[in-house]
Amino acid sequence: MEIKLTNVSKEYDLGATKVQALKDINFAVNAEDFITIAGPSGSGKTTILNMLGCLDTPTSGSVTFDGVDSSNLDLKEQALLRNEKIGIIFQSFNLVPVLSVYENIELPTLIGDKPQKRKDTKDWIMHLIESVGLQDRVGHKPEELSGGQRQRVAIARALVNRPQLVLADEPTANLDSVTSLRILELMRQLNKDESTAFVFSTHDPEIIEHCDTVVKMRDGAILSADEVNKMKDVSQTTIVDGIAQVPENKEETNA
Amino acid sequence: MNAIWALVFKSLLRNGGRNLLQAGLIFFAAFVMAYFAQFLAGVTRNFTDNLVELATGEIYISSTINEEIDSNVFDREYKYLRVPTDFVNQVKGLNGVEVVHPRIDLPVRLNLPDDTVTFKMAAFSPSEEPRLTNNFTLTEGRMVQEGAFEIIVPQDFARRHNINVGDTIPLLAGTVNRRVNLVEYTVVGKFLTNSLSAWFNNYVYTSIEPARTLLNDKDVMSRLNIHISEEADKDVLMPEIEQLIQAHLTQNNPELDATWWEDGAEFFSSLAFGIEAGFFIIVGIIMTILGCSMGFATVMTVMERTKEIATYGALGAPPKMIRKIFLMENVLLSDLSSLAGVGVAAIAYVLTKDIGIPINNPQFEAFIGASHFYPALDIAGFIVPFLICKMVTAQVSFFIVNSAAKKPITEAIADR
Repeated sequence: MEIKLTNVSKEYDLGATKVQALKDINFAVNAEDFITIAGPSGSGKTTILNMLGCLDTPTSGSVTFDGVDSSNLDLKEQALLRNEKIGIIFQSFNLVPVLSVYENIELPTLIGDKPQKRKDTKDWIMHLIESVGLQDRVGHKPEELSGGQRQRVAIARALVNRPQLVLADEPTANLDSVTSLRILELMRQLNKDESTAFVFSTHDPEIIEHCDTVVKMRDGAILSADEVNKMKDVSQTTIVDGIAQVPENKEETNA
Repeated sequence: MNAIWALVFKSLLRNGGRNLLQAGLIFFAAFVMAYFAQFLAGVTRNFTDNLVELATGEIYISSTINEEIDSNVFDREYKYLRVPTDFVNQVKGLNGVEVVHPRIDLPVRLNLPDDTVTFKMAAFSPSEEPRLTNNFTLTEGRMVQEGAFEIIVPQDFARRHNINVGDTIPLLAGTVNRRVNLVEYTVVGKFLTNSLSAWFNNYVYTSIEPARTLLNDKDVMSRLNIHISEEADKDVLMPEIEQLIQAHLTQNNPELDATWWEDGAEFFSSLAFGIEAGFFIIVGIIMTILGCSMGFATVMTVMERTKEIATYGALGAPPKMIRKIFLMENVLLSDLSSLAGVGVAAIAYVLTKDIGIPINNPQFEAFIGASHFYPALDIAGFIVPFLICKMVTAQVSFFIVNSAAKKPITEAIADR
């Protein structure tokens, strides 16, 4: 899998003023990538995620998914691409209020409506629910959950179709450190086992610390892309008195 | 269960109050339309049955009433015609004619011991008109015999004026040559009409010859009713009858016409038209209110759920599927509510088809000759309201949801 942004610019027309959200961006995401996009508010992080997720189209330049220009896909094909290959974690969760935790997580599989894939879906959903620590909230509606619990439902929902790419906008913003690490562990596991690429937009140093690459942005442009290789083995994390104890990195490799 | 259906059912349960209001409105619309259709069918059938089978035949020969010269001694419009027996036989011989019945309607005064009552008498042939004979249920006494100076009276009329079977009552009428004649008749029975229309309660009935005696003319009748077979061609028969009239009835008669029942029943036509027009106005108002409220409710729903719509899109639901989810919500609501409305209309039909709905306006009752309206079964009247509700709901919802589904996902999903 390869998603490539080539000379991508995005301009928003806000009445009299025009806002340049992205300026001539060249960026690629490949299988097994674990990337953080960091930068201040308004730097273009979310816009890049939207481009990668086929949620938005560039004003100029191209976004290709495995060599196919997304602008050549119609709405149905784009939707299919999102459903099958991309998982999205929204900062504001965007859960469906009438559905339970289980049903919200199940929703992308139902939208895809692939009966042949349903055999192991239930087990997989329960595994995800356990991974995000919501096994005692399976039947609860979003309004009955805390912000952190909702975030975990959104994360599990993004992972349920075993996407090739997961895009996460501040995925751990509402989570405590223990849950954050547990979720990072799950994501890392998927990253390793299924070559799922992860792209985060975050301010959370914990996430930045655990990513392979940090892309720094400012004013719609990429300043640097550093391969930090600070792959801490999160599986070695221990929890003492409810607080995650992350081992210090012994090695660092700079790009 | 299909995912979309599950989502639709769950979504319907939220906004319970608004959905209940919408459902109630659709229910009411479907009920009014469905029941009114049965009502309309009932009115039409009552009039058609009574008018054609019992009152006029498909074609009738009568004179054109001229108010100035035709007012009789009781100041009522009336016109008598003289139709010899051989003319009746010629009409009977026409291809497609089944039976021919002379009828006499005349205003009479009944000289009762304590009072003089102005009423109407109708004369028919009990032996030759089984349909009209069978229209009467005799609660006391028997049917009049052909040629005998006998009358049967409406039970209610008899009760009001203390008339009993066996009484002899002098009847007074204006003759054809504008004199007044008096003949005594014996009351032989009291009747209730089997017809859905109470029209028949406005007459005392006798046979043809005694009525002619009262009018002092052996060939007189007020109308010749012609019943034709179902296969008969109206356009062929009408000119043939007109030709016979011109050839044989021009002497000793006022200007005569053969009239197709529907053309002569102006009041029936205008009433039916009025009821139908009223029906469509009511349907139009209901549909406008329904459309506006469904539109308003859908706009509210879509506004509240813009983010949800965008979420479906972000999770990979194509716009068509999003439209489908919201449309199915509205259509399901509409279908269930309108089915309930049609169902209750069906129950109301069953309950009222025999007992009818009383008409409290005596003038209206006198005009139409019925004290009750009775619904009649009209299957299309049940199906069409259901389809109209479904169509209006789907159409209104589609435009709103369609525009919402096309909104860019990022715009809709942006944090607010």
